[in-house]
Amino acid sequence: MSSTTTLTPDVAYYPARVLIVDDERHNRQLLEAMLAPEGILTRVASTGEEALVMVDQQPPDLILLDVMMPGMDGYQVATMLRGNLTTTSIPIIMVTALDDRRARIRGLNAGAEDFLTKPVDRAELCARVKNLLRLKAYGDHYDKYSRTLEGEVVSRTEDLAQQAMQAAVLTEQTVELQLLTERLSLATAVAKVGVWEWDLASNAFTWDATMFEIYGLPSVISVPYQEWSAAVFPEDLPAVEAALQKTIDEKGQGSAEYRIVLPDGSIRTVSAVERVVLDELGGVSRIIGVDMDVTERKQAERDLEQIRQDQLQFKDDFLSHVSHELRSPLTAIKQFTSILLGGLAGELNDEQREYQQIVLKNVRQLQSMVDDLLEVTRLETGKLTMELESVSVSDAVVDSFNTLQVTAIAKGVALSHDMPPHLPSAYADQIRLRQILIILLDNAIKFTPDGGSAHVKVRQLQHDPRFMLLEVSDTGCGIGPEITERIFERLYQEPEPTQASRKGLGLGLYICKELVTRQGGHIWVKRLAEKGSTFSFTLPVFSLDKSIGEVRAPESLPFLTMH
Amino acid sequence: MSNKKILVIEDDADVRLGYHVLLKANEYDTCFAVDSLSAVTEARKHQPDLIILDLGLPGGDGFVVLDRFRTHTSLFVIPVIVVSARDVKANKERALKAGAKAFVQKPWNDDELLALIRQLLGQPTHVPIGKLS
Repeated sequence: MSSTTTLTPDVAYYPARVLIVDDERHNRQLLEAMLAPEGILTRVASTGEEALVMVDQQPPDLILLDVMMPGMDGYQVATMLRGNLTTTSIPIIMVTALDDRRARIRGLNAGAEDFLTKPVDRAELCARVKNLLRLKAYGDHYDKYSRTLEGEVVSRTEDLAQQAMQAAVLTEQTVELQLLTERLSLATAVAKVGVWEWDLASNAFTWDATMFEIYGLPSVISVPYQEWSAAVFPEDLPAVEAALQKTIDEKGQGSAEYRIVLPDGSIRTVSAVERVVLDELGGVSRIIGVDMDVTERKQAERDLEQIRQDQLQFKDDFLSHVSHELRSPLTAIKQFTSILLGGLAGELNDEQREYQQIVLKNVRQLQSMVDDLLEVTRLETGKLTMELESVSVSDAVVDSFNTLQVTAIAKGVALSHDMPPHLPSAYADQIRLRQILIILLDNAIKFTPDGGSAHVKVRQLQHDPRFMLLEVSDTGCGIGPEITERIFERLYQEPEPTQASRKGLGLGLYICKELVTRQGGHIWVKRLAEKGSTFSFTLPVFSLDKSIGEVRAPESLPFLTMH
Repeated sequence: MSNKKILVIEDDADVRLGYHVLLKANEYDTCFAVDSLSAVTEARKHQPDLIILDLGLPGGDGFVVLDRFRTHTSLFVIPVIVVSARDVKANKERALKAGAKAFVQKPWNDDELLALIRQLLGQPTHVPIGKLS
């Protein structure tokens, strides 16, 4: 008989190990001898205690257990073995000389599977042993099987647990997504912003509820392109489509503002922003965007503009009216001052004459202030008209000298000019050029003390022959270094005005700057440290192509710097 | 030789007096109208040699008066100097087109006004009696 017998196709009957426990050596040897031919491996223990130790070291497949032993008896050993989880399944055959019913019951209760009475019959011993070994083998096999099953169950349970967790996370994310979507919907609905998506393949839009609201159309699953383009105001459609095409071509984003026509015929204005969405290959498959109804906003903008225009108009009318009204009493004052000074109401004594002259001088100043005021209004409200033509600069200079001759002589300021003989004409406004020259010369005279001089120099620019340079310089008190550019501002007056500078509205240089700039030139001032100042300005030189083209101030003139 | 007669159409009383004193001193006779309604009546009544017309008349544009003078058979030959407080650029061309011979802005320069009057009346130039200092 082979030592390895397969009991069933699945279960093998390994060389079994049997532990023989008997205090008598003779008995031990006997049992060993009986089992040896069966191919069963045996070990022996002489006491119950020794048996337990040996079981602990190497659990046998079966124990032959003597009952009557000194120390621990068989019953106690059996009980011990049964009480231990690792040893509880080892089959025990109790061997005893006692052959009474009570002993057998006690043994069985202690946990023995079977009983053998001494003297032991060899055949019976082997049969019972093999039986129990076979049963144990089955038991072991199924134990192993069930452990494997258990393992699998645990593993499956873990998997399920993980899946459950993932499901939970997913649910959580879904809820959050829901919440975010709700918030977005609320936000876009409140702001009346519609969200859309254009699928290029199907050439149709997907719209959210707000989009349908904006366009006044019934809600549908998909909006064909034609339906949307039909709603766009025909005039605006080409530009909108061009913008969309550009966005696609550039694979970027764009925006457009256009009108739409609602089914009821009303026209609204929509502001749209869109962006491409690229597919995995980097091509444009979709466009996403938002449309916002800005009709009310545009109307508000128009209203605001209207108010602005109205206000400007009012300002213009007001100032015009005021200056007109001021001129009338000025007329009367001037008239009668002239009459008195002319002796038409009787001869004046020196004192009376002097006082009348003061009145007249002040009337003139008032007059010039009124003129300035009106001029500024015109400049501001854009009512100023310029007639640009070929203008003789030398004539303008001579004319302005004539106008100011009397004032200059009265102040003791000498006037002179320096103009080359073949000076080209300027492309300017005749009257405005004279106006600028008079303002600058008048200032020069005003700020120059008795015995000083004012000089006008004109030349064509070497660096840029398209322009000519006019300089009005004086030997006056000059202007402070910190002032420079600011003097061209409206209403600007020196921080510490002198007697001369106090009169006037402070508008003269502002007017000059506006007039020069509008004729395509630049104006600036140079201070000659206590020795006076020079006001310079440029004007375009007249050329035939200029008269048909637009006048624009040059981008930069490198040599122009403020000192 | 009688003096030349000048009709002044001006609504402000002080300004009218001023005209009177100046013109009288320069040997002109004066007559007046205070508004556009009486302008034509006075003109027909006095048949002046020259008219000085203030554009800023109340109750009717000075241009309307100018127009009436031009269309009137006996009045259109009389030279008219238009005087105005308003913007020169806006009104000068219009006034001249409407038949005025000259445009003067208020307040004017007496010498210039007198020179203008003499020129329009075909008088020789000379130093006026009322001289401006």
